[in-house]
Amino acid sequence: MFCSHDSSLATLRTRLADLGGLRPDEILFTGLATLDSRLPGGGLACGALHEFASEREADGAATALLAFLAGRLAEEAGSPILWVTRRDDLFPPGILRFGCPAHRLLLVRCRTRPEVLWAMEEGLRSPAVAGVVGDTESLNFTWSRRLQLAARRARRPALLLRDRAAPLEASAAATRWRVVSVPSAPGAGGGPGAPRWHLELVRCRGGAPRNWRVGFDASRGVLAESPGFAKVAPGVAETVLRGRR
Amino acid sequence: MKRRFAHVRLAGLGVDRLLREQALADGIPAATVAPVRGRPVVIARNRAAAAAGVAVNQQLADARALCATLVVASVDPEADRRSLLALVEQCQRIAPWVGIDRDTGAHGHGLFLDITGCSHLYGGEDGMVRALSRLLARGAIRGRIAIADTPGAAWAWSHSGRRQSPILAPGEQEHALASLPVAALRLPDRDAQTLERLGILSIGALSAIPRHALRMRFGPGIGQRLDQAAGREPEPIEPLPPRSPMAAWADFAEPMVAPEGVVATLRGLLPRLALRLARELAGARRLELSVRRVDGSRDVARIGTARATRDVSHLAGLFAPAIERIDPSPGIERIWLEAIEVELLDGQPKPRRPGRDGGAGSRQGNSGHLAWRMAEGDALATLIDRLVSRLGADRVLRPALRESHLPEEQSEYRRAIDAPDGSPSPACGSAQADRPVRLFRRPEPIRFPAASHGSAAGPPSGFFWRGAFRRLSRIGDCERVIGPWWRSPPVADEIRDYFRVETESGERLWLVRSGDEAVRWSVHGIFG
Repeated sequence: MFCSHDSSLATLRTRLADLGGLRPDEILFTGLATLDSRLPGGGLACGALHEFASEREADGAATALLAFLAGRLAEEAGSPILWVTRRDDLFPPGILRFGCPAHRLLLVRCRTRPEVLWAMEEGLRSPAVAGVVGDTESLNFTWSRRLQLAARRARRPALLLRDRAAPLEASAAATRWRVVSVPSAPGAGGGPGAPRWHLELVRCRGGAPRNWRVGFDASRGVLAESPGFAKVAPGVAETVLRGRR
Repeated sequence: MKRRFAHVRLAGLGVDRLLREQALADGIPAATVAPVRGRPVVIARNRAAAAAGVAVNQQLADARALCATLVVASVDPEADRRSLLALVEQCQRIAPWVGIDRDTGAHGHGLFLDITGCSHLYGGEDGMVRALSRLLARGAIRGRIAIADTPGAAWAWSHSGRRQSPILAPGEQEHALASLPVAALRLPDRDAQTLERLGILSIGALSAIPRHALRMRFGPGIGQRLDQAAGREPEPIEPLPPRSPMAAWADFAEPMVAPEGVVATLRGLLPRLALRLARELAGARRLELSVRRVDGSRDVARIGTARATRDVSHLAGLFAPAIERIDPSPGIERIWLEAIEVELLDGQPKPRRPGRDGGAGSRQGNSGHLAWRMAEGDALATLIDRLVSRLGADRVLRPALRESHLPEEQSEYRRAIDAPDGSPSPACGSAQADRPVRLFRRPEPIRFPAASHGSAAGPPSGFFWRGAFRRLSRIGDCERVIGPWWRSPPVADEIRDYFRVETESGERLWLVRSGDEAVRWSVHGIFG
């Protein structure tokens, strides 16, 4: 017991893992070191519900980020992702650019919110899929709790995409994020450049809230730190940083 | 018990099928043809064609000359055989022994039924004739029925033109057949022709000739046919074995009224069905559960699977939502579970697929660190079945990329139940261009004040969309999409100009300008 500080920490970690904590093969890494290091376990926990809210209606940032995470998950696990949605406007060629090829997706179109919840639970119960993405406007606390329990039992991640400007309710998700598009650096020919987002970790079990400014490098298919602020009209930055809670 | 036989003469299965498939009305002349010595010759025709002058063994060219509107199809012996076997199965519900008539010519068909002791179930032989006629009429098949003491007599009677009734009373066959032509005895063609040349035209005349003379001249065959028709010599028919359905059923002496009873019965029937499937090395793709109540009403629940399976718990789960809708009152007396569509299952355990990424050799399926959860193909099919059973097969889909000029056609969705395993799409050129993550079904028009009117060069600098005013900070290059020329207008004439733009608040949109004289600006999609 009287070993060096590091090895006792390591021992504690393994013991925690055995008691039901996070094992290294149950973490989804986003690939961005500054992001992963701030999350408990070093990445997104697999046996949990993670919520990504978009706030603005016409904002594709959350969709794109979830496409990226789904692509990473599918590639690491080698099996498809169940994408459950009530909308009909998901565009596979666009999703492909963020690392999620069409043949890794199993799309389920539901008509009602109970159907979305049921389909997500079915997907989590099946060993055939690597994870479940749910596309729904809002989710009350009871349902988020059910999904969190289902994800924990299955040891697979459930990623929730909340795409409308619905008020944030209490949720049992392990991590809650806000994803907003921010102006990008100038691209070729003066057009929009690489996608750039403001990621805010609103709530995290076992971690502290934090903001990041990330961009997506389409050529390599990875997230990259993108701290520089492009010239932005005054007032927009405040709106972005001081969004409603 | 006196034996009784029935013969069903099928005038032209091919013509009946032709009429059915093309949904032709009764008055339209139709015929089937087959090549004889290199030329198409009419094999069978319907009444309307006969009335127009078309005859069997006529050259098709002559037939067409006589009847210009003749609808023609080639004979299809395989399809005829399948129809015949299906008809045999139906007739097996009327009489258990049904055999195929092999004596009719190359393109005719007939069935023999041994109806000894069966006719009382139909209220007599008249009732049996009516039942058989109804059966033929339901299948839109023309046929002539005859009942007699022997198969030979029944055959002759069903081919006979002049007759009062299809039923020959017991013992009447000698008298009735006497006036029929010699061909009604199913003699070989050569013998029949010789008899005709000799002037012996009717069966009565033939039976008057002393047997030893016939035997010397023609061999024993004719005498045998005469004896078989009269009943002096037995003629067995070769019945086809009944096809036992792949089913399990339960009958209830006391009508069952509890809804849980259906579920419990199903749980007992599924293992029995699975055992039957296992004996045939098969799995079921479609199953049907039918419930018959004491008042005669029925209910049916159907399920389908993405992959042939015998898994009892999986099938029970798929049936669960369908069974909930079945109301047992006033009481169920029989539950019948049948596998409608069955496929062979190989009993081998499925090997782990080496590489799911199709082609990228270095990436084996289990190199990612989460891959200890790699799925078996069966688990995915199971999940698809469960989703489909509640939501419907059209709502569980697999997206795929497609080559097209038009953005809305660059992706397609296929039903997952038809193709449970996704395969990587071939590399599409469209995958290289930058495309939005959300593409609206219909581009949403934008409004802008006249001051910032969109010029021919580019989009307006500020506009209203979805109730909010947005000002553009970045405008990308124009991507022109021209409708594919091989499609018909208006798709082919369309010219659209797409712009990737970014608003001041950071939203990235896909603006499109379309229309020639009346220029319209809309938002077609959202980028990530």
